[in-house]
Amino acid sequence: MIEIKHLYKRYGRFLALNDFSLNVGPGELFGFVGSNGAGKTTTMRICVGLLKADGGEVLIEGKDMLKNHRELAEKVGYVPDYFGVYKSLTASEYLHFFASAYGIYRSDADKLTAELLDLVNLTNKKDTDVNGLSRGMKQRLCLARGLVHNPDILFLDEPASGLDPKARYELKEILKNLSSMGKTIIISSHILPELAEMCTSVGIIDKGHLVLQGSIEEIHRAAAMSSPLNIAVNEEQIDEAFECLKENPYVQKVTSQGSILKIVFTGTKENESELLASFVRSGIMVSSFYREEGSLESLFMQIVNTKPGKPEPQRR
Amino acid sequence: MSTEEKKKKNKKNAVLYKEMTIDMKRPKIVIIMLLLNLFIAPVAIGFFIGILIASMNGVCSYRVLAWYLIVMVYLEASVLFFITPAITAGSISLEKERQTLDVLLTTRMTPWEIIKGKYGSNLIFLSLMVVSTFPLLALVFIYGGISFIQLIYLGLTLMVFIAFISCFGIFFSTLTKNTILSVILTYLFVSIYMTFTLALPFILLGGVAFVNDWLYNTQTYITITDEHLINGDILVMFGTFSPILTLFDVIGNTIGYQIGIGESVKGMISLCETEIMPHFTRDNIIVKSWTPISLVEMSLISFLVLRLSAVILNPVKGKKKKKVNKK
Repeated sequence: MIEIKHLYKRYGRFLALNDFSLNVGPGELFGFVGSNGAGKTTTMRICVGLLKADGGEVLIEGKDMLKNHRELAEKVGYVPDYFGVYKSLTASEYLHFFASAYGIYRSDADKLTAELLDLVNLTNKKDTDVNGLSRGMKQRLCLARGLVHNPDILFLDEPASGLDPKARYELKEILKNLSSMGKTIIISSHILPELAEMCTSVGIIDKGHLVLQGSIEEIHRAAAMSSPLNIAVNEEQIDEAFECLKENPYVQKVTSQGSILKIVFTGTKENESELLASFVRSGIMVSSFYREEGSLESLFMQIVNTKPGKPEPQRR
Repeated sequence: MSTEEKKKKNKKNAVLYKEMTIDMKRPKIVIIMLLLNLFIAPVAIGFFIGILIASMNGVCSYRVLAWYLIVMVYLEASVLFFITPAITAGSISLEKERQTLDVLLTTRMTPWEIIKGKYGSNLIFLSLMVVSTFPLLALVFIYGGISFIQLIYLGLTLMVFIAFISCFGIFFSTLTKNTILSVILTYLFVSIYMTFTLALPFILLGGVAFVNDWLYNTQTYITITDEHLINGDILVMFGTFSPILTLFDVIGNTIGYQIGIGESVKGMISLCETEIMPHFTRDNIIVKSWTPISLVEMSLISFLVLRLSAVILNPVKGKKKKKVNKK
C-alpha cells in the first residue's frame, strides 16, 4: 500500500531523513513514533506531496507520489499537526469548501458533510463558526476534512497533541471506527504507549532513520525484552558470574547492586533458560532469576538513547 | 476503474466559489466599497454643485464636464492603486498564516487553480468597486459630452490596470509568508515599476535628442542639416508598458484634455510631430494603437506573473532530485 524507499531530506546542514524506508500494508493502523525532530512530520509531508525529498521515493499503491500527485491526492487524506481552519466559516461550510476542492458536487457534498459531522460527533455544531469550537472539536473537524473525499489512506500528524483525556478518548474511538472501515491509517506521536493502545503496528523513527518496526505484539515483546534481567547470586561468586556472563552473546551490559546483577539481555526466553543453566553448570548459586516488567516507554527511551552502531538484535 | 472513479468531477474552482459565496458576504467588503465611494463622492458633489452654478449662470461648457471626468478617473485610478495591493497582497500569505495553504495543496486543486481562484475573486471584487463608482462618473450624462461606450472603455482600462497591479499582489503574496511584508513589497515594486516605465521612454528619447543636438551643433565631420538626424521615435513605445501613460492615452482618446476653446490634447498621438517625437506623424498607426498594445502587454505580463506564482506555490516544483550528502 505505502512503500517508502530510502528517503533523504536535508534542511541546510541538518539531515532530517537518513535512508528512511518503511512499508505499511493495507488496512493497517500504523503508529509512527519518534521524539520531536526525529523526522515524523517531514516523512508525512513527503508522503502527501507537500515536500520534495532529496532522495528516495514514496510509492502509494505502486505509484510515485511525486509524479502522480493529483491522482493520488484522491486516495490520500492528511491531517497536519495544526488545525488549518478558516475562522470565518461554519463547520458545515468548512467541509463543503473542501468537498468542492476535491471536485464533489454540492448535492453530494450536503449528504457527505452531514455524514462526516455525524462520524466525528459534531452534528450539533454544524452551524457554529469554526472559531467557536473547542480544540478537541477543531481536531475532529480537521479529521472530518481529511475524510471528505473518502481516502483509502489517512495520514494524521500528532492528532492527539494538546487534547484533554476526554477528547483523546473520542479521537481514539473515531480512529478505531475508521480502521474497522478498512482504511489505512498512519498516525504519528511522540508517545509510544498512547499509540500502542490502538495501533496494529508501530514504527519508531530516530534521527531520520527507522529503528524499529513491527506488529503491536512484537513491540510489546520487545518492550518486555528491553527491561533488565535481574539475577541474585551468592556474593562470593560474583566474579564467576561475571565470567559466565561474558561468554553469553546476548548480554549487552551488566551492572551489580550487591549480590544482584542487572543485565541488559537481548535473548529470548530460551536463551534466558540457557543462561540460567550455564550458571548452574558453573556451580553458581542463584537465589532469584527474573525480568523486570517491561514498559513501552522504557523500550522507546532505550531505543532513542542508544548510540548508532551498538548491537541491538531487535533493530532493523 | 470503479463507478465512483468514473463519476464526473465538479470542475468549479473551489477557492473562487468560496470567496464569492461566503467571503463576499462579509461586512469588510461593504465597508471598503463604502470608503472608496465616500472618498470620491465629495469631489463629485463639489464638481456637480460647481457645474450647476455655472450652468445657472450660463457659463458651463463641455470643458468643465471633461475635466470633471478626467479628475474623477485619475482619482479613482489613484485610489485603486492604493487599495489593490492591500487587498491582493494577502491572498496567499494569509492562507500561509492561517496554515490552510498546506491543506489546500493536498487536495486535487493544483497551485495554478488556487492562484486562479484567488486572482479571480480579487478581480471580481475590485471590478465591483469600479462599477460601484460608475454612478459618480455617470453624473456627466445629465449634461452629455461622453457616450456610454466611452465610459465602458474607460472602465475596461481601469480593470486591466487593477488586474495588472493585482498580479503583483498575488506574486509577492506567494513569495512571502507574511502579509505585511507582502503588501510592502507590492507597493514598493508597483511604485518603482510605474515610475520607471513612465520615465523610460522619455529618458531614451532625451538621449536621442541629446545626440542629435550634439551632432547638429558640432558639425565636426560632415554638414548636418537635419536637427533630428537620428530617428528614435519608436523608443517611445517602451512607454506602452506604463499604466500611467496608457491612462493618459485612453482619457485623451475618450474625453480629451480640453486645454483651450476648441483645443484638445488627444493622448499620446498629440506628442507626434513635436520635439518629443519629431518623426512620427499624427496618423502614425503604432502610436494610435497605444492603448490596445498596452492592454495586451499588461494582460500578458499579468498572465506570466501569475504562472510564475503558481510555480512558486508548487511545493514539489521540479522533478529532479538533489544529490544528497549522506554524511
